[in-house]
Amino acid sequence: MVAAASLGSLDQYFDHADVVVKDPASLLRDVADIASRTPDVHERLALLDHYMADRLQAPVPAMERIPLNYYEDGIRSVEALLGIRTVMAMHHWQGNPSYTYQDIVRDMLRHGESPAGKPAMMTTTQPAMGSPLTTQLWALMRSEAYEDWLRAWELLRDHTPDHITTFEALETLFHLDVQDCSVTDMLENLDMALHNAGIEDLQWMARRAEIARWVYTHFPEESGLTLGNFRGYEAESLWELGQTEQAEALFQVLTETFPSFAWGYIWWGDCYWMSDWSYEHAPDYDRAASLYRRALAQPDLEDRGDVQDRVDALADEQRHPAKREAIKQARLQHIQRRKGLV
Amino acid sequence: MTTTGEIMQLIRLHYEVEEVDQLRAIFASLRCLEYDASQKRWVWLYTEEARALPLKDRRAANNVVLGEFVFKSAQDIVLNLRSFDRATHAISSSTSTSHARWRA
Repeated sequence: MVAAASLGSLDQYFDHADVVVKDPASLLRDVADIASRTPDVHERLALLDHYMADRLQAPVPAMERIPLNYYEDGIRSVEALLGIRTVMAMHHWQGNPSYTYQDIVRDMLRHGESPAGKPAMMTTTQPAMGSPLTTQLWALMRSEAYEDWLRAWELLRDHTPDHITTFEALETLFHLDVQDCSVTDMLENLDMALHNAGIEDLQWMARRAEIARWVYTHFPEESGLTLGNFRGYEAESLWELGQTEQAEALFQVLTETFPSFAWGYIWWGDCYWMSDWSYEHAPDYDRAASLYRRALAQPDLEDRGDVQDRVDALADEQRHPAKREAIKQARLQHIQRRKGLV
Repeated sequence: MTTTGEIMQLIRLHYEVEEVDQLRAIFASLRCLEYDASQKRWVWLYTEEARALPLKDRRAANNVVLGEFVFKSAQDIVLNLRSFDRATHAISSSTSTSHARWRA
């Protein structure tokens, strides 16, 4: 383990800050109350309009407490809640402390996007090309479910012409940029989700390997970081699937192709003492250490500190075998529960 | 800006946890979490499992504290963070699956 940087705790700050508690339920109660004041529909709307204007014009507190509905509405609802507050904070920081939510709504309606140049959160943009495929991709990529991302990937796989060799070109081709749908983000998130799902069920790990291979074989003009990452994801997945020889070969190619990419060596070495395989069999600290040393021997190695940290962590684990034993039981139990390939 | 490149905006996430002992065990098994006895908190470091997070500046050092978990009472836990991006990553990582990206 590394020693934590000496930044102070934020706990005292939060504990003593003046926090304004926002209760969405109070809005509904107020609206119901206003609606009950008059039977006339036009008068009701006028009262509600006045009430909402007052709320939106209210000064924005420096610290507020708001409920998050992650489980019901997904991470995008959280991002929207926080994003609007980032816009607000930027305006205040730039010397406009009177900027309110009403100003945000006005600017968004006027420009079709947020003042900070972020994608519109309350308006919808019409498709530049409303083909069924494009529309379907937008919906799938903006979903919260990785099964939808998987379906989006299948559509991309089946419809991407050979001359498209970068994610940017792919996004332009399908007008994904219009809806702020990032192929990079989706594939990275999908990889993460499949890794997690693969811990429980190896079928997902196999899909992860398949997608990773598709990425680096079809988008050779992507950055070295992207290509290195996805080559590593494939190798790591195959290792988890028990195909250690194939994984070895892929790691070998990865480190030869990108010799300064530290994570190729790190992931490779990790397989020997941090993977499920290492708990099922036995850690091979010497092999792991030799791979880390191979990385450190590269004069232009990126993220050198991360490799050195691995070396230190490995030495620490060797000095404290009891710590590994404590983890081992849980890992082995989990491995027994995991679904295999059918 | 934070050391990982996001706009600094402090945020605290509140959690109500039913199995605190189980949570402590999971924390102990994660390599990106370290107990800081001096301040009675678990620090979430930009290392090991957390290195996979798509933060803006990935050159930040391994000992950068992404957040701190503080056990406020028997069931109330807070996670203090310095940016909204870190918060959304924390929410996604800790709740999207039982294991999340933090490889136990």
